[in-house]
Amino acid sequence: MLKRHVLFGLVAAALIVSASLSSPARAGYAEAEAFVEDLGNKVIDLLKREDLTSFSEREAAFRDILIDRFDIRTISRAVLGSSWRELSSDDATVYQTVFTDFVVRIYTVRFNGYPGETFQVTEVTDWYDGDLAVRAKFEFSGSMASINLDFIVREVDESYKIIDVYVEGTSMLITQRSEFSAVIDRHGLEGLLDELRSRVGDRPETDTAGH
Amino acid sequence: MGWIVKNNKKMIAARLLFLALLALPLANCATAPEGDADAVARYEEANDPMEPWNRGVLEFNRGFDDFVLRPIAVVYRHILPGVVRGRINLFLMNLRTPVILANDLMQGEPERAGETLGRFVINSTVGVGGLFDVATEWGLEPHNEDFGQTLAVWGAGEGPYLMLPFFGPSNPRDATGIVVDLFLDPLSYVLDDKYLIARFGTRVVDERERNIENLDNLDATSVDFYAALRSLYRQYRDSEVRNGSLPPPLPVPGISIEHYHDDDAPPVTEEMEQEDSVPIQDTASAS
Repeated sequence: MLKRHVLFGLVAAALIVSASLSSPARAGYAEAEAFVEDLGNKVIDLLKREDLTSFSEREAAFRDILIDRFDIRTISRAVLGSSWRELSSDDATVYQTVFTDFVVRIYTVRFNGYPGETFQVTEVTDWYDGDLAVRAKFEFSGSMASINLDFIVREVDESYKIIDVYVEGTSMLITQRSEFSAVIDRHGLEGLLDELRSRVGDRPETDTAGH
Repeated sequence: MGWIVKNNKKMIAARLLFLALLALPLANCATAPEGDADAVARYEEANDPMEPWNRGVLEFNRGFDDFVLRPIAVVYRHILPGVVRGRINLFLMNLRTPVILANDLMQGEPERAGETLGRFVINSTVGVGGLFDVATEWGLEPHNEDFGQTLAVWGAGEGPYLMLPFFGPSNPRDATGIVVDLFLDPLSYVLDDKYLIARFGTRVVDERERNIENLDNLDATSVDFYAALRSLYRQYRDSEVRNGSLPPPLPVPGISIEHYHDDDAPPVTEEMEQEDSVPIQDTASAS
């Protein structure tokens, strides 16, 4: 009987020690979780809004969320890879403006028609160099399968910004990067800039996706 | 007799795929870039020495998809209500569980094998022959395994990226997996050919129907559909091999996402031209 108590005490002590040892690493976890949770709910609210009837209205609403919560400057640079260094200062500014429009456009199109229902953060882990990975599940109404997401969150100026999103294990940043480098290989950096410009030029008239 | 005929057909399918793989090195390969270090880095990262050939095959596949597969998938969606399509999908998923189970075991994952076996027993009985996914409701979530993943777990590399006619994105490892999974499927030994063909056809249409929006979206929002598909396929397979956990966050040169906040910093200086990656401009050094 006594032995059992001793054993229990040891296990409990070990648990307490390990919990206290691991707690310093969790600094910022709750904040990062709240930040992503809030972002997810904002997107769901946006997808549920019925007053935004036109594409441009939805795009404008989406732009606010993206610019506010994504570190688009860092992303725009990372997706260009080593070609970033080939841009002059002026071209870099032009590129970043076009890239922002481009990202807002493609994600407005991608989210168009998704019946977002619930968004739940399931896990926060350390990523690389102080960045955190926040895992979340995005569920839809109807028979659509849920999507697993991992947000890579970075602390920027005492706030948080997203620098990458993994959708079912596929990084949107890495995908964009390989697309851009394929275009650069085939049509040059100028060709990529032209392509991006032409993509943000005309607005799609109708919804591209609908359920 | 029927047994022999069935196996012969499977052998023919396997041989055709094997021949297709053999013929690949003969196809015109992309010449590796020389000199320009950035172009070489991009070439190596893409892991696609047969890119011109692969792009041609994708064009062919897209033609087939535009005129045959996608229209069939759209009709399939319109004639069958979502509830029925859901049952069909679950039924097909249940039929695939023995292959998943075999691969769970070969990967030395007894726990996941147990889940797969549990799912099969529950869904085949309580789930009325797999029409209802009762197992998920009881806490046994589905997962996917195939022999391509098993090979990866055993240490095989993916090999060069490969666009297969009709089958789509692949690589030598995963293409081998497709053939081996054919042999691992117990149903292929007991079912008549016509049922096997019907099952295969339904699987293809079901899969395509569930991806109508995804592929339309990718087509509408990508600047290079081929490169996007290649990257997504390779990352997704990688993620499947890791059973859904994130890739190790190692800073690959040029891929790491550097800290960058200084709005006024000029991106290019003469000294930076020679460096391997863009210097990190973090908050500490900026303030």
